[in-house]
Amino acid sequence: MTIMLNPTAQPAPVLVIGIGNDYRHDDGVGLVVARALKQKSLPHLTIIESTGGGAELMDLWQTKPCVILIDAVSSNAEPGTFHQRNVVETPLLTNFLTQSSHAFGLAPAIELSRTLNSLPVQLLFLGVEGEDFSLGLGLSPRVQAMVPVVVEHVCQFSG
Amino acid sequence: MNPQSRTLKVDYLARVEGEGAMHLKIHNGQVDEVRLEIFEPPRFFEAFLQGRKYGEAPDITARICGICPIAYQMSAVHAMERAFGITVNGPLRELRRLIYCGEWIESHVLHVSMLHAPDFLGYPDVIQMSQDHPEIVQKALKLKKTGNDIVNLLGGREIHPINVRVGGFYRIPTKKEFAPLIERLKWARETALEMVRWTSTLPQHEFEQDYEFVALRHPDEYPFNEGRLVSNKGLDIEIGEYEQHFTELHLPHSTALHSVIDGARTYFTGPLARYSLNFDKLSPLAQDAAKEAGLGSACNNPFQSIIVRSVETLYACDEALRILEQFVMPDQPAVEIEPQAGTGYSCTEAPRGILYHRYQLDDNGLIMNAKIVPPTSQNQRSIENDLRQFALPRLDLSDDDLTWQCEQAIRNYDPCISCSTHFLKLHIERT
Repeated sequence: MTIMLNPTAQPAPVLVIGIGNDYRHDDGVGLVVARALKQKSLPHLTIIESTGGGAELMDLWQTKPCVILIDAVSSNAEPGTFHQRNVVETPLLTNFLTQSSHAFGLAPAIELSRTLNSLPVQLLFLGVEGEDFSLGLGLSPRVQAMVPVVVEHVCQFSG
Repeated sequence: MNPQSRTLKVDYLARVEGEGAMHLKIHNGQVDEVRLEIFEPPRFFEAFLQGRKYGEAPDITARICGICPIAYQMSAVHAMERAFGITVNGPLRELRRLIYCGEWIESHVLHVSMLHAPDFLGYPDVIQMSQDHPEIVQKALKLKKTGNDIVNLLGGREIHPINVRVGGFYRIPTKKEFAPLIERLKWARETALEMVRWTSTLPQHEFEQDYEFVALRHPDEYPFNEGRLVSNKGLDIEIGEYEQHFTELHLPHSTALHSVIDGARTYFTGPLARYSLNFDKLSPLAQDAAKEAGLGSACNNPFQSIIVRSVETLYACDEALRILEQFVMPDQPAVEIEPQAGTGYSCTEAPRGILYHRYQLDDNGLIMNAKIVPPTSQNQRSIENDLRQFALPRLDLSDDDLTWQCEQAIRNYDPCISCSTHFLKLHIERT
């Protein structure tokens, strides 16, 4: 199922937050996608790279109407699996943990925002199942191959 | 169920920065074995730094930790400057203290309000806590953001700041850019004072230990970047003597090295140590708030670290305001650097305790080797000792309660096991 953030003719402003750590291999996929999106210079997209600290994320999204989050996922699915979820409707489950260096990371930040009534109107999560989260640079091939796919989804959903 | 023969296994310890596991083995009513296993990225970064230019070290090491990048940057720049025989004084030195204030505020408020307070109030996490105490969580988020604002403005961005360089900064914000921070910090100082008062009302465990506290001590100020390394058991050394006194032992259960003083002595670094060794250097406001909260000039109860972190947050707000109100634009954003061969070392006070860096450089300022000792690995033995002592009189508790209280004891140290890793698992085994 394709989730449309903004099914109107004119693209509305969208905040895109790529989350990850470049030094943990596939954990950096959200950052790689964010950089690829920047290359496209789409005027309605504001693109931010984040290490996934929950409080910072809450601060970034709380006043925005439309936000897309992009992060690596570790859920025992096949590496390279593409995940998408409208998190305003469905929480990120605890068995669907995104990789984060912070104990107070993305999933708790979403739930805390929900409790404090500070979620954006539309908040879409796009994730790529990672394969290698050990220390080191570069994405593994199956995750790298998903970068253009996620970029295309963001363009399609937001535009 | 035979209470002397129980096996308890808990697979996930939340609200600790990082990845690792804690094993507690209980046999015949005695704590047989305590092991904290941690997996430490600095070893990877030490290798990664070899062959890089001196100027890259602040930005590369900042990536070790998303919570305390400033600490890594400050230890790196001071070590490089030491190698080149350079001292940074005046307004640039003040601005380095200012950016460190920002990091302490961010890190301490996150831990006090979002990670540690739920333990004291009996909530599984801050999400549950926020249902009953939304105003506390909202204020904490705003207070934390004041720290982020300092780091953002002076560091160029909040996470992994890019404006810090060897010799100073790439660009100094103008007085006009700094001005809005002053009003926000006045609010933050009041809110931090409320946080000290609030944390002093939380139910506490009676648990005092005879620790050897280790922290920087400076004759004129509460320490961030400079000072001698001292302890309450007689240690008093220059940073250059660090490796003569502090050694790291490799233990098979952990990729992290266990740090000890003079071959054997366990020590404690972090807010409790800084406070207990430097109470007289806190601002009058912070000292008064600590006294009002019931603290003495030293604190040996690690559960009271939640109050001490709040006092340090108050101090950081107070100190940041002092620096901003006296701000004078430096002539240059950075001191000129002339690379030369040599060895430089530095120790600064990260939110979690002393962070030691040492670099050996060649004639062109390329890094030949690097050594990084983060605070959590230094506290590893102390955490294990605490668990041993803390668990012993509590073995009659249910497995769930014992686990929860042990987790709380671990969180006293705000361990940043991670610096980019993921889970801490707690295993309690009873036989």
